[in-house]
Amino acid sequence: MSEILLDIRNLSVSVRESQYKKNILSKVNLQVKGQNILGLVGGSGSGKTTIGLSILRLLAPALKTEEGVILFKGNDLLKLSRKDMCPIRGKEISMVFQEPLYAFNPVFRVGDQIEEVLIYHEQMKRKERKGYVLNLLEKVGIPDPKRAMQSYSHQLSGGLRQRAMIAQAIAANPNLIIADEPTSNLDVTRQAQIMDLFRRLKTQLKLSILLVTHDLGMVKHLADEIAVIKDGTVVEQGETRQVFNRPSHLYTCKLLEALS
Amino acid sequence: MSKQRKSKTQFQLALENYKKNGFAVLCLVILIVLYGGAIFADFFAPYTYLSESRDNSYAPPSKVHFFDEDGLITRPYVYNRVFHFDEYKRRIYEEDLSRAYPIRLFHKGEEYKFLGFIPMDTHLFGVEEPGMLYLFGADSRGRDVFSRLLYGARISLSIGLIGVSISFSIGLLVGGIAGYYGGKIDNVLMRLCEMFMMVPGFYLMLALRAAVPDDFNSFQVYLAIVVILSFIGWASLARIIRGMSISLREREYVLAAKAMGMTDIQIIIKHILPHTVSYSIVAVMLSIPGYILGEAALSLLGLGIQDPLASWGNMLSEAMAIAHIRLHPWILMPGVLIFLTVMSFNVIGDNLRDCLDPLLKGEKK
Ligand SMILES: Nc1ncnc2c1ncn2[C@@H]1O[C@H](COP(=O)(O)OP(=O)(O)OP(=O)(O)O)[C@@H](O)[C@H]1O
Ligand SMILES: [Mg+2]
Repeated sequence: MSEILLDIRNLSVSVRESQYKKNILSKVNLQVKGQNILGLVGGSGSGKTTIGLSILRLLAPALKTEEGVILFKGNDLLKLSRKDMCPIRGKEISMVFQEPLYAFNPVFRVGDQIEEVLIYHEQMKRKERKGYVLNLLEKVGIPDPKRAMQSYSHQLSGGLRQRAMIAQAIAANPNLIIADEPTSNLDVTRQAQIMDLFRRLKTQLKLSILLVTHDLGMVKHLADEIAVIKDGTVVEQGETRQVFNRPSHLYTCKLLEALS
Repeated sequence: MSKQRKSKTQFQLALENYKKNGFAVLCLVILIVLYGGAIFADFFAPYTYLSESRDNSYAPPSKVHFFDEDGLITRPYVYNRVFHFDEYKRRIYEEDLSRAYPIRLFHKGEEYKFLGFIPMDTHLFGVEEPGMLYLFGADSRGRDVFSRLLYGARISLSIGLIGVSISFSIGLLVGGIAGYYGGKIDNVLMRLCEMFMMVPGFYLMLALRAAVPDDFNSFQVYLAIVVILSFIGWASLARIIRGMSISLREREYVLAAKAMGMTDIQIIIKHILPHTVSYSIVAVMLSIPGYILGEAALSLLGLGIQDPLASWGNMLSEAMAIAHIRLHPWILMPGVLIFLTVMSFNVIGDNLRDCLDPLLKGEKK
């Protein structure tokens, strides 16, 4: 039904530590379809975050992209200059971080930081922006958006903070959100709420979401497709139900076993 | 109670802590008075910095009388002075009791442009011609030291502020960039800083001053001095900001800002430098005295602001000979003001550090 929005082919990333070179990702293949949620599942240290960051070209200086292409709407992101990446970040692809406490700057109000996205990517008047931010915060289900806007990040609860982070991510109407373990710091009910929110946003805003997590259970209810990553290679990608019912890789079986 | 605490911003908390130190509050008041005097100098000063009266060379401070001949309290007044020469041909001033000159508020005197553009001739106080009012005495050419101090404050006090803002902009930007990018850029910028730091400040100042063309008018000289002074302070600040910037760039909100599409320079300005604010404010306060002293030193040597423009430094150059200080101690007044200003900035800076530094804050409780 929908074409491929993000197409990662043969992506290899290595880290250079003094003398030797170690591959963190080797020949990763991954496709995110339009208006689809792809759950990227794998153990700790398997390279999930690295995939997310290489899409935005934000890898740490020690990490190097060796080969591969990252096609986004048909353009290879790896070929773009640093300058050309800026209009894509936040505007076309945005990121939700694992720990929003640190992802917000502690010395500025949350509302102002969400507004920044609009300053950089949208032509809006000051007044308009304020209203828009308020609207966004409401959209992600924050009960008292006025207060949240005026707060510093440490004054909000974890759940609210994560919602504010999501509001920031969707501010400029991106096509793709990379959510890196967005719920791992929340309790179960909050996790469920955030998952509901993602599902709602997907249809409302025609979003695609790359949902990075180590929690298969969460992915089961939310994702349209699942990709399983192990030690820097994607061992399996397929529709959620198919992967759950008929896993084709031994590692996936083990993961599923651990779940049940 | 907890609600109240929450609603206080960091700034309010810092202000509260600040007020606990009475001496620092006093210093703040001193600075406000001095800067107020500088801004409204032409209104507060009974004369302009140019008005001279050779008959009153080194006239001592006018005695302000509050009682008339009958010992009754009256509106304050002064007498004019007449002089005769003593055996060393020095002028000895005596009050000329024949006519009293009452001090008038909102006296109409010499014309001036208020704040540089509103023509006015009202001074806060003054005495009628031919009376002369010398609150702090007169200098060698019979110019009112009090008036010249006020005009001089404009130059001496503003030079610190302008100089510090130039050198801090350079220092913050260079330090921010060096720390943020690291690698080669960092290396080049830091070696550059070291080059500036290696040369002793005062000699660098003299060397740069020598490079200023002779035919500059006084305003250009003023600007040149500001630029020269700001060339000196930025390097050490840049090094410290660089250190902070190195640790700040690893913060996750910097990554988040990048993921949002902000460019590097926007990130440096919006997310790195604001975190150095509390350090910078203190550093600014503590380094302003350096600029004021720098100007004073240049002017004292005759390399700075040129007569007849007044600055505290060039006014002080009259006090270079010990004989003058002994005979006319009031020409040391600019030195007193320099001392007060420098002390106030230092005390304020110290106190700000105490109330902004979160580590010390815990200790104090
Ligand atoms: N800057 C770096 N320098 C060296 N090695 C790195 C760096 N960043 C990541 N790595 C290595 O890359 C591998 C993959 O890391 P990554 O953060 O992508 O894992 P992850 O799947 O996100 O794990 P987690 O579930 O714990 O978040 C790890 O082995 C890690 O040690
Ligand atoms: Mg990770």
